[in-house]
Amino acid sequence: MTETKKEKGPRGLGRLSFITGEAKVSVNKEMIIGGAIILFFVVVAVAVEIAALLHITITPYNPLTPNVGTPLSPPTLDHLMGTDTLGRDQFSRILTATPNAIAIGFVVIGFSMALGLSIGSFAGFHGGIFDEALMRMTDIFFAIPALILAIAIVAALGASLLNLTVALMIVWWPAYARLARGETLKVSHQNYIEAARTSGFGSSRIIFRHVLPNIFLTLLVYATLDIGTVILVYSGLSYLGLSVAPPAPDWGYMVASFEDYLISDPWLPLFPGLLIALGVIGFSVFGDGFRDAISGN
Amino acid sequence: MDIGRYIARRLFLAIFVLLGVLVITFILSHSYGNPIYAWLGKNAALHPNLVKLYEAKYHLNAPIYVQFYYYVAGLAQGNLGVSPSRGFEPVSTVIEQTLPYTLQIAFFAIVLTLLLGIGLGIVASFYYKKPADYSVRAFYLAGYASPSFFVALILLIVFVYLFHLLPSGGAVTTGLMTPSPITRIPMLDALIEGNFTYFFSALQHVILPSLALALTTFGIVTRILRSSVLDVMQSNFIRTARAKGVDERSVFLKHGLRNAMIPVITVSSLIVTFLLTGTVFVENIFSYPGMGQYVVQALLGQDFPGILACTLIYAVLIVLTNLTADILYVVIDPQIRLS
Repeated sequence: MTETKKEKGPRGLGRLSFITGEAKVSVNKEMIIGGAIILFFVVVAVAVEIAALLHITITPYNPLTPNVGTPLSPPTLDHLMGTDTLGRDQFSRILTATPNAIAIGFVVIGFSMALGLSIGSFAGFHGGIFDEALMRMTDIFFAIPALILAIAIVAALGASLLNLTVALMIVWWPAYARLARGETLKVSHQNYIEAARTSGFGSSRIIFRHVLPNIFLTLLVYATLDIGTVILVYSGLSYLGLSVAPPAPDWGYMVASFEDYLISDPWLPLFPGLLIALGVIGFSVFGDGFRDAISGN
Repeated sequence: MDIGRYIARRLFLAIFVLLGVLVITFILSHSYGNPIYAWLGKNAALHPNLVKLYEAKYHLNAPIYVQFYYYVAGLAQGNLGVSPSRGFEPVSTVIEQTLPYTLQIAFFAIVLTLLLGIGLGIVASFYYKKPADYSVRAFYLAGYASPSFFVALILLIVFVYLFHLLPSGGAVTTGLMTPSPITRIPMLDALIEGNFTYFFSALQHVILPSLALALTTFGIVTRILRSSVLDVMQSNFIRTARAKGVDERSVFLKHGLRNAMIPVITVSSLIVTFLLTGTVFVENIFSYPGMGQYVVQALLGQDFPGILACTLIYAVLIVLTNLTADILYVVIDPQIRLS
């Protein structure tokens, strides 16, 4: 056996090189902490969804059944997060609401990335009128706060989980198109792109084989950090009553509906609020760690 | 590019962006089908003549580009329609009444954001990779991750119900006369008039809502300032200053921090967006009579002209911020002009 060089290779995520290209990703502490939080939420969300599909109850109580405990009882072992005004188990309700925020985060970001990457890389690669039009359009979108524009769109479409997702998609993708366009401009002057051009490859082949793999990582880092922001804005819209219709539970709306019990029964608004914050922290910490891991910092 | 042409180009872009926002709000206002039904709500079914009257008045049977012309022409005259959620008052009147209060919150929120953000940014960079740095990071992460309505509720518990330090809501102690409108911003008018009773009462009322906003926003400043200070302190002119024998304190404050502040300007638009979004929630929690409260009222009352007018005003505020930041940027950092 020949002596191998002692090279500090990527740990753990080395096999993810198909996503990360040449960059080496070594897992750091932030990725583990953030990842654990994200995993927790994702597992809960998936479990709740599967249980709903199979019509079984995995939450301690049915989230919609009133009087499973004395109304407004504080957190106990029977009711980990207390009960609400109707005697519904708040822990069960909070678990049931988990998929909404988490799924919206992934769906909106997934959509924005897909659309942003295709439009942005095309515009960046070809330039010209299309590019100029895209840039000016994103300028317009950036001038309106995402939440406000989403409010206006949901007001036009009507309040529902689906319409809210559509509104957030409309609001969110321009940032990704702009980022993808900028990154495309950066790589399109690289030698390997020039080489591909001189070899006579068509532009779609160059974009798919050479541009996209090289800008994907930057967008992915941005996206992981951004899922938390989507969850924040979503919880705001839910707080305003634009998400699922009651009695179905949702975190933001739970905070809003129990504001008046802030002093007498603080656990009612505080637990859902804390969970929103925890979810966002998970994605932010993971995203920070991911970025550091890639920039080799 | 010289500075005049740069500013002219920015101005042109700003106007273009606002036109684009107009198009978006116009499309939204027509995505309902006949906007009259949205505007009139239940009244549309009760008074069919009213519908005909409004259709004629707002040229709703005209081609879409003609309608757009009338929409823009109306806006140019300050005509934003009527607001069903406010008893059919003209929207422009409601905006006139509510915008000053939002500006008051926004002003104090920006001041607090900068104080907290810069202060903690300095602490974090000065004690780089020490416990203080990590504590600051945990603090801004928690603030950034928390929805502003959640932070507002926690502030309410602590400052109002636990320690009885500050009022729980409203813009000013009830019963106090609003000062005569000079600038139309009540706190500023009170200062000009010398009405300090009003001013201090208003100040007490504005602290909590703006603090709630600042706590969710200051992280943006702290984060960028921290990394920018760390960057700048590595540069050659800092080494020169040290070699000259300038004491470390002055090196940090006069040479380091000053230059490190420039990137903070680039995130000003992000900060203002964050703050304006937050006003929607804190104004409602603290029953502060600003535009945020109006937009929620309009939303619940299906008051379309109200929602669109607020969207437009928020966009104008952000475009103005961006314009100011762009201009400030070239004035402070001449290198930018070259590119």
